Amino acid sequence: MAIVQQRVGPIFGLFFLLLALAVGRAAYLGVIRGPALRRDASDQQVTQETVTAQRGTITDRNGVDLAISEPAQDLSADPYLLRNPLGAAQKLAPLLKLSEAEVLRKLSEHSGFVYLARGVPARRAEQILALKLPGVNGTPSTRRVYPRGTLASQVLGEVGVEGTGLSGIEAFDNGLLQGRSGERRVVSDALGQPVSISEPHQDLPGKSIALTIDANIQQRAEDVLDAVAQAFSPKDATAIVMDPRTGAVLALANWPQENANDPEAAPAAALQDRAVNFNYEPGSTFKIVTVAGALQQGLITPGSTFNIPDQIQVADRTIHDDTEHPEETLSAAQILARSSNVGAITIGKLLGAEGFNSWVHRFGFGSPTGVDLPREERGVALPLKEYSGSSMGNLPIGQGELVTPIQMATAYAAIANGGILRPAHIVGSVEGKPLVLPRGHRVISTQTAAEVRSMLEGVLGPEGTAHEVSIPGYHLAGKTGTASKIDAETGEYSKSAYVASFIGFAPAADPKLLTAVIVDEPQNGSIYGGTVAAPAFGQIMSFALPYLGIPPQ
Amino acid sequence: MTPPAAASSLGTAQPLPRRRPAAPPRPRRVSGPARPARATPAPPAARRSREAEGLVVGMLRSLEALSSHRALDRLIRGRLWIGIVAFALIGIVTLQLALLRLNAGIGRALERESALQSGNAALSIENSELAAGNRVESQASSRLGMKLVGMSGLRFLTVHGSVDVAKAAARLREPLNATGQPPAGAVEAEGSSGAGEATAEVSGGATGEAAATSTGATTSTGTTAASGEQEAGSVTSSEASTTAAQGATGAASESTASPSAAAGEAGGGGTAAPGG
Repeated sequence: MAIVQQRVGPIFGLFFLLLALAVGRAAYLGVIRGPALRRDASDQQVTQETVTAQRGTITDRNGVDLAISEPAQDLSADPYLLRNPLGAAQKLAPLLKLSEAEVLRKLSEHSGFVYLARGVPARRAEQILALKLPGVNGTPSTRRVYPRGTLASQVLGEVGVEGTGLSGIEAFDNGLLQGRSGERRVVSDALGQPVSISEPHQDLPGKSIALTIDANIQQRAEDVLDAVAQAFSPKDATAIVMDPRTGAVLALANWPQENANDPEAAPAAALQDRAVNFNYEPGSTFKIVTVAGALQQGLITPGSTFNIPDQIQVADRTIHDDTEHPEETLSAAQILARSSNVGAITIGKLLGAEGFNSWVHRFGFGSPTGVDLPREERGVALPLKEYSGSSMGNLPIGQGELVTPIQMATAYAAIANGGILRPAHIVGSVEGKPLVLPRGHRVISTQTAAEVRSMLEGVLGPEGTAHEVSIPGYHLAGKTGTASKIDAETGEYSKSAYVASFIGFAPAADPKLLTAVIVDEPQNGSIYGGTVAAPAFGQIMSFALPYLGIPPQ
Repeated sequence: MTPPAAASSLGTAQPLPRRRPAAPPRPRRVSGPARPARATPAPPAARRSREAEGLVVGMLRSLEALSSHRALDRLIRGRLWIGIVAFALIGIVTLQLALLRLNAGIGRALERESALQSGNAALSIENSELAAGNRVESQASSRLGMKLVGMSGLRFLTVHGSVDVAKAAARLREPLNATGQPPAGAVEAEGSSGAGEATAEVSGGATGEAAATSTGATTSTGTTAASGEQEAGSVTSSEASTTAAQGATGAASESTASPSAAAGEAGGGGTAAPGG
């Protein structure tokens, strides 16, 4: 008993000492190092993540993906934490698809943060992060991919590194496509396993958009424009294919092409969607406005005849026909088929300046059409008060006013569909819900439209300016245009720079498809709409008509 | 010695002195501290705070009473309570573990979701690339030896409304069963070759008609079957006509493959008269 009592004292002392040590340690950790440890624990255990909203997909009318967002990472580095920048650059360069020198330059910056690359595909980013290089981090993001590369690239546009649409449909419908990013709070345990996940702000994915574009027709139109470019080396070219009944744009091609996945590589001019951005003097394709107006007002009929010399004096200007010819009697239909400038001016004179001007505006010139594409130009339709004495010598033949290709296509669609001017549209549905067709308004009667269509058939007839274009079994109608461009240096019409165009539709009696081809400054000896643009029209139509199941008459 | 009062009254009949009315008895003093002087009524705010105080005190008293209640005492001292506490503790721990497991599962699901999204996007991209018209065209040409039909090679079928319907109806057979045999009860003479026969005949007819249409005769059957437009309605009004339409669709699809070649032919590169 005495022994026990003797040992209790030291044992108690020992325990007391251990307890005192524990209390001391606890006080040290809790009080002295408390704030720092709490901060470290929070950093290690709690992660605030931004949940990037998936940007909506853009498809063609058949569901072919034209623009897709895929998960990616923005890779960054803290150069101060890298001990061996050269070694890191050697490892990173091939995975980042950058040169070693460029990566080394980034890693050598005197900064605590530098982007190595943004929008790196998730799999490649994982490979990079698996290297576990100190200071190299990834932030989740998304990457916009255009699987068809150059296809409809100017229509689709591009998305900036911050995920905002910068041009094309990506910009016009950014509000629909972008969605809203969310926020996620993850608490992890010591092993890094999440023990608590909450989303204070839920992400909202962007909406998918289906265009009215048909990828196959678009591809064909781009191929045809490419061939035109090879043959005539123009400055640029545009083709629009649309359904005149609804205004749905089935193809909208531009040349030069640009790869939507690498817009930086393309020249600035290639990024423009010339169908809506390009202002040009339309030339003879504009004569339908003059003729349709005169027909509608009952001033002429398709059979009305005129004595047409090969030149006409208007105020101080003399306007010639394209070829010299003796004075001849031509019907209104022949005037259109042969594209007689003198004839068109004669008909324009019947309308008078005021009448003509009202028809220009009635067909929508001088105002944006309202197509759902960004940065649409409005063209220039001279106000009546600014008409000079010679204005009626050039305006009725499509010189002196500026139009856009989409304005011309829309005006021709009104002729084709029986007289209803309806804005073109390129977005067919959002999240599978079809959009309401834009409302149109009647500009000419059904009868006048039919008469103009009948007259336009003559352009592709034996006497017409596009007589070499035909598609077996189909009756085509259209109009050629060859317009002089203003020489920027002299301020006069150029003798070498022209815009060649052709706008037409088929089947002529009941048009279901319309194509406009506009070629800016064709070279290599040919400048005419009938030789440069009309064949391209024929090539596009000969594919699209049977492809869409439009039977011949 | 003074005689007692009673004795004296007996001896001399003297009138009784008038007694004063007795005063009401004073209340007995209750033990305890002396009652304080009646205070002047407190202002309403002070009274309210005192009422609240009284309420709190009352509640505390009730609580105290409850805590010292025999039933509760019996419950706490009983063994059932130990069981309840043990069950609750185990339950809490189990719930926590389940929650942890759930969160870990959510974490894994999120990672998987991300991976699937990535994979899905990659597949969509690949799908779109593989479906590109130019690629399909070149593959069909190089691998399968197919060639595009020129525009002049296109043929459209002519619909002969009631004639086609009657023809197709006459060739209607009962559908084959899974084994490719006609179901029991089918007319033996028609046999299993019925469907093939009908198809062959429609195709043959189509070819013949196609030859006829080279002069420009038109049809809506094949083409509208491909486009899904309204014109097809005329030949799809009955089951019988469906057969004809199917036959024609085959021809139409053959046709629709061809125009791409024509793109290089029709109207290409000629020298037209000067444009306007």
